[in-house]
Amino acid sequence: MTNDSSTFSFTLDFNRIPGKPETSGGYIVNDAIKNTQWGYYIKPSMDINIGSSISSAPNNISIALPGGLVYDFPQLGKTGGIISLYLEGAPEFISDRSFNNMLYYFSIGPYIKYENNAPGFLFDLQTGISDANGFRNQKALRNDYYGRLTIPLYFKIIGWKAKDKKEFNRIQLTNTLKYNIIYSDDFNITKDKNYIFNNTKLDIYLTSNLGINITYNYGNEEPLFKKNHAISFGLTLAK
Amino acid sequence: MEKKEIETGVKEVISLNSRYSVDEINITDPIDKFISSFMSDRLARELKRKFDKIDTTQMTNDLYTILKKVSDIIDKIYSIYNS
Repeated sequence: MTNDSSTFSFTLDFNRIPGKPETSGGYIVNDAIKNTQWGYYIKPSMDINIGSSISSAPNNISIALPGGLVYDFPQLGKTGGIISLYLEGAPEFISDRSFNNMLYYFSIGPYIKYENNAPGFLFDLQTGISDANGFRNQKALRNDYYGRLTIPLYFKIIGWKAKDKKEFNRIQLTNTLKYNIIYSDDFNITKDKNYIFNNTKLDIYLTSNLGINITYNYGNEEPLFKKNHAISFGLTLAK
Repeated sequence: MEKKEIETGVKEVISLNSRYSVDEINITDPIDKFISSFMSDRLARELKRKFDKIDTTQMTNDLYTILKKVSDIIDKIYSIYNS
């Protein structure tokens, strides 16, 4: 639901394997440094959310080339899970759908990924902090310096019961929260200095092939930081 | 390298990154029973630390896409070492 209109969307997904992400690896480089727990990686990313019918996501285009160093800590005891520390930098480009308002910046910062994969229960967590510095370019206006500090928090919780294919129940909650502190910008656009953007998705698989999902977005996202407040319902028909 | 040797090595890597012992890992099980796709990049690096001939980048991208079972990893590494 938005402030100026109400939107209800219903999605049919015919091409999904339960619990598998839509994205493929797409790494340009991912390697371990010999005789150490260190590694390095480069992984491009692109996200396009444009179109008149797309109201349940921020209407933007983002392209980035993250890369950096990673340290794989030894397992935290036999049941404590695994944790990796990433030191990442990325040139990034974010635009609104019309390419009238664009952000170019370089972000840098550390984050961790943690996983605890127990029988019948999976918990994934990713969090850290990143600092972005660059420019906001608006058509027919001067460029403005853009500076942003972000604290992201992503987690995924999956519970399942699957004795065999006929007795398959799975519930999956995924949440992505970004807390942004804007310390340099054209403050006609970012009138507030602090913004959050939160995406919550709940998938419930009733059988191995049939699931329902609910997605809820709330908050303000780059580049325009307009309020996005939307809920969508979907039906997943998995492979 | 013999297939049995690769199987043992793969199971050791998975065991060091999951709560399962080597004996509890069945090669017909899906990989994400032990390590989910969220950590596929790490699994590829850990496999490289054990099997230095593998192409870690290719292994990472394959773990996200085509390698589903533990036996798929073993077969892939076997083909690298015996090509």
